[in-house]
Amino acid sequence: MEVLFGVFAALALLTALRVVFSGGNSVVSTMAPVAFLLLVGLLFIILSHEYTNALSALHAQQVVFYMIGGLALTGGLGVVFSTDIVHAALFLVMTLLMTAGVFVLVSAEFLGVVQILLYGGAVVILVIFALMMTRARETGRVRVNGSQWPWGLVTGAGLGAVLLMMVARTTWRGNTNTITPAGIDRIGTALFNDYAIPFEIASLVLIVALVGAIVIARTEE
Amino acid sequence: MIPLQDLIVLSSLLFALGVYGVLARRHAILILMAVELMLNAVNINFVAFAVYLAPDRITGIVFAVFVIVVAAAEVGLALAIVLRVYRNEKTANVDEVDLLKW
Repeated sequence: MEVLFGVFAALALLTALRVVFSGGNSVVSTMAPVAFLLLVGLLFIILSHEYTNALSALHAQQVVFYMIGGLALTGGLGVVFSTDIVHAALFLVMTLLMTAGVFVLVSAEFLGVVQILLYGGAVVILVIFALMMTRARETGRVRVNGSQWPWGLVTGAGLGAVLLMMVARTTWRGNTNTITPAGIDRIGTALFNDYAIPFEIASLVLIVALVGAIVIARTEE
Repeated sequence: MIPLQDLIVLSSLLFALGVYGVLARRHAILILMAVELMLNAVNINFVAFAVYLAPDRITGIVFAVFVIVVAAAEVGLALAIVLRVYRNEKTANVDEVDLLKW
């Protein structure tokens, strides 16, 4: 069992390194380790029912969360490290769908479905259309990484370190292990009773964005 | 069950990756993609706190819905601006759009 978990962790690390250091062909070379990672994770879940040592105290839900979280982080690494823009858009799709999976895992299914519909169905399509219209795929015309990436690395790593230290050192009030499912009836009641004004303002924001995008992007003839 | 700290760690790592993406990338659409990454990390954070630590209030999930709405509107508008800039300058690199610089 520990061997299986070690293989799982090693494949996760291998996937992350391949995404960061593989250059332009990162989507193709990421998918094989990701597929192996998923298979190993599935094997781990199936086999953990038959053993009674400490490692199988990990519930199936936790292992699924590690898999989904690992894939989300792989997608995030691909978005910021990929040298091909369209590959970065595809990695963004992966991250957004894995976030929807996390929402479903913590029993906020409405938000998971909304995430898939809006992000995976609209935002990413918009991004890929914009990539097409700005001719992002033509060779030699696009420089994706700037000259100040070391400072970005310092900032990002510093921020991540501070946040992780914060998480480790906080004493959490309340029970951090139980989930209260958020039913869609509660969300609907809250949206139309307590948060009715922000709801209307959100629809106003959408109308302004729609009209504004049309006005900005149209061609005058 | 999944401990809360795992969810916050995932959210923090995604947010840090988004920050690096915004600072290190020079194509406008890649910067927008990194901003989307940050907004998703924040959404995971909101939902985790609402479901684990504040079960009587549903504020976190409603806020996450509004974050998704505003993010979608912002991406649409920002991409329209990028298209307009590309039409005028023939480049979407934010380093080369410096007409107003001194």
